[in-house]
Amino acid sequence: MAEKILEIRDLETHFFSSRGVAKAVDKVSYSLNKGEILGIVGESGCGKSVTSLSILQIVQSPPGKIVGGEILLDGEDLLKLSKKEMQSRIRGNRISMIFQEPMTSLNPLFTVGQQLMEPLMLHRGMKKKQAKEEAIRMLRLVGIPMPERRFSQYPHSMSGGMRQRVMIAMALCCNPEVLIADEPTTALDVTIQAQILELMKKLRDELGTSIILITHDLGVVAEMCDRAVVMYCGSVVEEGTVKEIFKDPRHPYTRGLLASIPKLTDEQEELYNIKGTVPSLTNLPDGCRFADRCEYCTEQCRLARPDSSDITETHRVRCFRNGGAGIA
Amino acid sequence: MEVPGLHKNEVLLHLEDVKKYFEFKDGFVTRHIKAVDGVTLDIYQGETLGLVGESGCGKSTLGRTILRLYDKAEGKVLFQDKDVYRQSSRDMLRLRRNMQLIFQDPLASLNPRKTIFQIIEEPLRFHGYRDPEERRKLVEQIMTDVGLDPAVGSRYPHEFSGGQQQRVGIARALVLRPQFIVCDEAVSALDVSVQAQILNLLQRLKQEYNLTYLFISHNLSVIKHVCDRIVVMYLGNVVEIAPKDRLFANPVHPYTKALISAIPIPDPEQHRQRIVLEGDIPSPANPPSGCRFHPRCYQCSGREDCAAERPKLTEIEPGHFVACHHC
Amino acid sequence: MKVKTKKEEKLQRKKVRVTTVFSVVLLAVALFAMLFPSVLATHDPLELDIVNQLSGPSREHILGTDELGRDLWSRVVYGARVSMSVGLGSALLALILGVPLGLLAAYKGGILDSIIMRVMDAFSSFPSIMLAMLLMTVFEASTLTLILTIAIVSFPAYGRIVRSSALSIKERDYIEAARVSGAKPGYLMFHAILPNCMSGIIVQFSLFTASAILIEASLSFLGLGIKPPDPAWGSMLSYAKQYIDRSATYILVPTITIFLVVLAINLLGDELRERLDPTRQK
Repeated sequence: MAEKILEIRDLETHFFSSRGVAKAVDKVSYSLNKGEILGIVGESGCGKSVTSLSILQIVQSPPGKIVGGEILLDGEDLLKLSKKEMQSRIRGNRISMIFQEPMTSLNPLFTVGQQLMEPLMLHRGMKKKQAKEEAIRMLRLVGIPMPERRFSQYPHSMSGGMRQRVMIAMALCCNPEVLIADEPTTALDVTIQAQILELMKKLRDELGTSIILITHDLGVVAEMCDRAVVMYCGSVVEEGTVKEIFKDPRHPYTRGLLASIPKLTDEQEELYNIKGTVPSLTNLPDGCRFADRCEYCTEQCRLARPDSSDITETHRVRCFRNGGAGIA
Repeated sequence: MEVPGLHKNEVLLHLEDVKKYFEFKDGFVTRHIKAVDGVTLDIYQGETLGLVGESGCGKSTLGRTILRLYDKAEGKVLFQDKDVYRQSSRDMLRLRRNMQLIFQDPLASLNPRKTIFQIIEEPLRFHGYRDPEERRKLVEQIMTDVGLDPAVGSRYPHEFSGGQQQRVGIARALVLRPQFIVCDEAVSALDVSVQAQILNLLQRLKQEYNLTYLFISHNLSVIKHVCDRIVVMYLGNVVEIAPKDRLFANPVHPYTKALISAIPIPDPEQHRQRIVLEGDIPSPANPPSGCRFHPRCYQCSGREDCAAERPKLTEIEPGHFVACHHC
Repeated sequence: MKVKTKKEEKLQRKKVRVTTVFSVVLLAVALFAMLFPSVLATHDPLELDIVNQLSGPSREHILGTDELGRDLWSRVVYGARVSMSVGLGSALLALILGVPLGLLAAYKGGILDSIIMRVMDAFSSFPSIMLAMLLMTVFEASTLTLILTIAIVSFPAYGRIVRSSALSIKERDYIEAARVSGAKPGYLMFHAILPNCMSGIIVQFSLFTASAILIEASLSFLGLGIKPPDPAWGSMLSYAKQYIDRSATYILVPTITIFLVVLAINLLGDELRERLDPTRQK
């Protein structure tokens, strides 16, 4: 039985504005097993990023606020910790995060080396000399050539791919148990993306870090992840092993998503597209969020929100029509 | 450049050794970013030509050079045998009716202070449509054609979703009934499900309006879906041109092979042997000598001719061209 | 009459902010004072009453008197003519001079840009005092001289703000889209780029009005502007400084007047910026 390292239960993060309350994360539950790469897939506005920001409690507040749920790291509820404890023990230490835009995540006024040394000295209590050596070792580990030279360079003199490697080095330097990667390769060229994804896999194998990989690219999910969670409008609509999600998608949204991507491998005249648009988060419908756009929608779907039901031990879906019966 | 099946069609655009360099000052020295460094290409009437490559390859610059969005460029850009860079301003205005552009960022391409109606109507005003009633009719018609309700014309861009904003951009490009449209990463900024809608729309409009597209993208899967022929660029040069099926069935240039292999396949059971290139893409301000790809090329390591001389595009099978000394 | 119509017009729109009402009312009053001072004033602004000099507010003199016993309220009212016209006039003239130059410099770039920038640098380094003296030999010391002086010295700042705004807007996709559609440079500069710079221009306008009134003060003090005994807010301020210890009211009156008017212009400017920006509506 796989061992859970991180578990999110019924997480709720809402955004309060003059236009109303946007339930960006609405009772989301999933778990991350030790040593696995978990993919969180969805389109913009589905809540995948906000969920991960909530784990580290760095949601912009106001207007956002975590209003309910539990986040268990190895059994300990992070939402019960004080700000100071989050900052000193958890962030950058036990849970790290890398972002989409490496340029804006790195401080342009400090050298790469200085930024790398900071968490080492802070969390691992190293002295300057030791931190410098470790920083150079990390740079080498993430595949940056001539790390001693790069150590004294500024972020702007590096390419996107290299900056992302620096980010990864910074995230991993304290050997965190969990790494959250939020669209880490979206802004990179495809050949550079290939390099970074290889790197992440290698580091997972060598260091044993468990990774949450947030992306909208289903190809990346198929290549990198062991399991995946599909999100729509603030909820998890399907969860399963990557094989289950791709080969036996049960939720109509998952199916729609898979059908609408152009694939290298087959010919299509017209791409399938999911009709309609995503509802506004401040004005969600009463029943299933996907009802208006769903081909299999029934009356029941409009009246109540479906609960999550199990198809197999690893495969869950939130749909009244799940389980094959009812969906062709 | 003949292509089987297309040789009957006329050449709409002919590019002859087109170069576009950007100057910048490095201290006292003036350096150049060689964004487009000698591109020779034909675009045929009625085709969708894909232009693919990564950062710094020059594909966006090439698209804009064709549309004369820059004051100067070297080489020749011939649109229906007219030299684009030698047109007088009046003639250029007439030419612009026939060549349009769809942008990557839908919201950024729309003037935030104008209504949707005004944005789509604007080109008509520039080209002498004086009757407001006539303009209104044309705008409403094109809006319906792209899937927008004419009633929303009085709203502002920020009130719409990305997909709808892009429809506005498409409507604006089409209102003058051009022949040729450059789609510069037209779907890259959209969500996957919206991408599909817009791609389908573009296909349909091409048939209805008899258009020719230059489709620029870094996403090979999308390119494969919409294009007839594909041009692969690297650091300002064309490295391979082929009809779609040939390119994917038989990619010849090592960069093309690496590019194709780098694409993640949305199928966990298909595992491709991936070619992972070493190093970063060099800067177009300081490109390698000879074959621009040679420092990263896994096929030719240390061969002299690769570093010394730029390879020319040669036809290896009908319609399939490669620029490589050793392919 | 004027006050009511402006107020009515604003109230007709959906939401009317208190600050907007305040601004409009105040500015309307100031404009009224500019045009019909005799209606609002209680005394002749030049009438001396040395016995009652530097007195505080009283039933006879609502805001007190200055060092020559002149009624401060009446002087404020009559002073509106000079100060408002100098304040608004020079800000407007500077705008007319600076905005097109800034747009041209940003749009054309290259050598033209450098030339325009250097010219503007030259003008802004010109000491206003020397300029005022120069202009005085041509025209007399008057409101016009003041407006010209201040405008000439301030327009470069407008130019620079517009230029930097325009430089970034020029690169935006929607400007490129207009060019692809066939827009001519003139259209691009004035119909596409300029409206998107409005925010900065409006802010600058209100700031300029304020500084114009203060510059008027120093110039008048040196005899290069308003000659005493004519009232003007800026010069009242500079004279009042000498009598701070003897009359708090004297210095407060012009200060608060200038403050209120500038505040009103500022708030109105904010309201205008918000109404002009479609993305902020709703």
